Amino acid sequence: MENILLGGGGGISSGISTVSREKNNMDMLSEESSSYPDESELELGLGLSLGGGAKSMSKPPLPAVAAGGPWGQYARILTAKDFHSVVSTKESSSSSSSSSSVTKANNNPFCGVKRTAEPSSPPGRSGSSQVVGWPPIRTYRIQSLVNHAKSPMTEEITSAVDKCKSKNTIVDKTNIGSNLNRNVAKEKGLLKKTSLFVKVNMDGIPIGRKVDLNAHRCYKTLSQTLDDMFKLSAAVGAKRSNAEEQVVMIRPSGLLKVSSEFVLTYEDKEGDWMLVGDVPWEMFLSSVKRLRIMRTAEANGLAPRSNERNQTQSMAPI
Amino acid sequence: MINYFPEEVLEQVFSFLTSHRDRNVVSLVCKSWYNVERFSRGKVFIGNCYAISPERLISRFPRVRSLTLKGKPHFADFNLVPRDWGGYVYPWIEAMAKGCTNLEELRLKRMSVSDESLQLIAKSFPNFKSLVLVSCEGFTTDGLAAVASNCRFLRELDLQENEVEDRRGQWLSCFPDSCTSLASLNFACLEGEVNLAALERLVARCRNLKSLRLNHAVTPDILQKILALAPQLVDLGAGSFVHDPESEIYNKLKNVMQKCSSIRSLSGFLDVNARCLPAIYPICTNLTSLNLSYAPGIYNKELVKIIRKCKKLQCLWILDTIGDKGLSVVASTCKELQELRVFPSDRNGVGNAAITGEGLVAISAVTMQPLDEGFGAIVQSCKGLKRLSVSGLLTDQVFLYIGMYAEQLEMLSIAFAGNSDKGMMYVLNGCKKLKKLEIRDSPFGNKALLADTGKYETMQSLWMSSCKVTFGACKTLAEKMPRLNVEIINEGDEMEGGPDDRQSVEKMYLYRTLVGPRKDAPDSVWTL
Repeated sequence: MENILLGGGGGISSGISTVSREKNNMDMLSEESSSYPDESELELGLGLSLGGGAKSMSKPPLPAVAAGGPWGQYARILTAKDFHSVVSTKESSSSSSSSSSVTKANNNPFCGVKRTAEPSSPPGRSGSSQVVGWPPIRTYRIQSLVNHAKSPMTEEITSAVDKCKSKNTIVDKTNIGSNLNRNVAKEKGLLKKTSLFVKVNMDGIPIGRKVDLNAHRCYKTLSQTLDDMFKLSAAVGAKRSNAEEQVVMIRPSGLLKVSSEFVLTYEDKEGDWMLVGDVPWEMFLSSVKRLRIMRTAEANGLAPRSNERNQTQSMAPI
Repeated sequence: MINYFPEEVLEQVFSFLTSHRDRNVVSLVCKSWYNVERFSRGKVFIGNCYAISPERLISRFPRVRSLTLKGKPHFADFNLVPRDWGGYVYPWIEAMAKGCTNLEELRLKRMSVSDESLQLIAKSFPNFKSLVLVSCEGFTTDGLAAVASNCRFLRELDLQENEVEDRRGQWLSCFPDSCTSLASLNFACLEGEVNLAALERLVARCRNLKSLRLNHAVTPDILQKILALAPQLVDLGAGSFVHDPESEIYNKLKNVMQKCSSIRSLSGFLDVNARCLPAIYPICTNLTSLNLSYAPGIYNKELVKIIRKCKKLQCLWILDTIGDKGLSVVASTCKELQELRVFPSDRNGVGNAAITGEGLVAISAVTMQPLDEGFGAIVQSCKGLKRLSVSGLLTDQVFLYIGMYAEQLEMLSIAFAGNSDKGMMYVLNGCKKLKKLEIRDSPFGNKALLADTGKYETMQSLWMSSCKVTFGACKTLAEKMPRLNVEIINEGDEMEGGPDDRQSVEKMYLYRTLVGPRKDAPDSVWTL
């Protein structure tokens, strides 16, 4: 039972949650309890009240809430966002009553939302004022987050990510994070190599090329580059009408098709040949070893990525 | 009969008592035991450096070899305490240098440590073996250089989360060639470059090195060389883990990692290319402790892959990018898990936190009830609970529960909680073993503060900020209890004359002490 993280009635949107059964090396200067090392010590820390996760649970309103006090009459559980800024008017509707509770608290002589260096932050104004020391993240940790988040490339990535939004490309924060991380590292000059070159061979062409995958952030730009590189439009498209401007298309199914004669495939870490475009970009980057522009006829036997990826694509008709 | 026990025998018996609490108890039995105990006490723990003076410490325990000191109040971690508040270690080192040169080990937390202090340590204690600094500030790498150069038997240099001014000197090169005793070296918090060649040579000659935590300046190339030199490592903190996974260096790293079968604890990855992480897979099976909380940019799927391999994990510190699904993988994989900490990956604590209630429900036995009841359940069932931190929509009811059930509770942190003075009073009345109580932005006032003033002498300290306590009440308390230091921290500018007694106090910190008001308080801190 001690092996649990206790959520205190709901989700935690952020903050620090701890259940510690025994002392460990991470807290070196905690007091020793006794000479008996196997006596377990229990620590529980919940940095924050519930976050948006409360929405996901059906919970009854607080049954016997004390009538008195500034917090008493509100059935809404305050979220971190309430303390983050004085009033967050942009918050979702579920937090709207909590916003008002914060407002009321402000009118109270006791203020639940602490004023900061700014002399007065009237309720109703959101954004600029923050609660000092909240959420309770250690200064050292905040600095390390700041160092990793700071990057002038952020805008570039955001816009590139926007461009990349296709139905099947999952763009989530963690992917952006890893891009940011790399770019920050680039900026710091810590990365020895920022490029990721893989070989690209096209069936029927004896000489292969190399392409830097790290220079791309999504499949579209990669395919455009390959297009240019192998002069696909010139070789193949010459026969086509002018209406077909783009030889490389990203089909709704996520399959990258280079004209109707070739498909773009890649060999992954396990040595299997996969169709390019099925999996999120980051995942692709992590498993690709080399690329091959394969004749469609040969690509018939290729299956889409396995179930493991949670995305089963049907084979595009060839 | 006990009076005729020869002292040597008593000493032998006491030598089996390692905990300072047991020793404290033993020293209260009778005078003779008190004396035997004090001469044989080697390790002293001081939870508040202002509770006692270094001179009194030395006169009572002349043979102390290991000293642990804590300075600033815990809320200093969250910027609630002014930088110059205090907690200077220099007077302690000065006193020890005069009276107790046997000192071998110094462990400091939240103290202000100057280069002069480090230099004094380096030259005053010939047997000095272990320096552990946690969340300290005030020193530079020059101070570290002094320690490295002069402490001939140094076994442990452990710097955790300190603010160190990096003078880009050569402190690592200052370890002389004759230094082969290092068993533990942690410089992960240093911002600057280190002499990598010196690091390699140091690792090569310290055959007892078991714990090594590197900073971001140590690249995978060097890491690979170091691991080849030290396959006996038990605890590793990787620095930079950014490289091209196709490269030769990465291959070498993978190969050498496979040979590091002793590693049980892994941390760091201060800069990481997630695609390089498969290199650590071979050691995951033996890991008991994993800290990836300083490694942003590892996307969820990779995190999960790693976790799936760590079946023996007992301690996991991770960022919230792990998400709900990731946490359920933790729950199903890590059957021996004892500690789990989830940190926000966004510094404002909000943002696209991937953790919602769902993820935690998978792990916990949460009651789907208001927070009061939830915490009530916790304190009822976790009978050994020693430390608790609560915030959010909580009424006085939760404090009633805490007072009733949290019998072993020693430290309680409260933020934005409670309805009235009753809440605080329930806690003060009920928690017999309470040592530290820290409260911010909660509606507790004078009545609660003054209800049981004697209680504070049984506790180490009380912090109250942005509550409803007034100057008048604090003054009353200070007058009544001469063995408490009641400090008011005023960073504002309303300080001319005296503040009105009815005015609310911004921040109050009180603690028991045997040595009266301290003399090193800055202007913004008044001791009443």
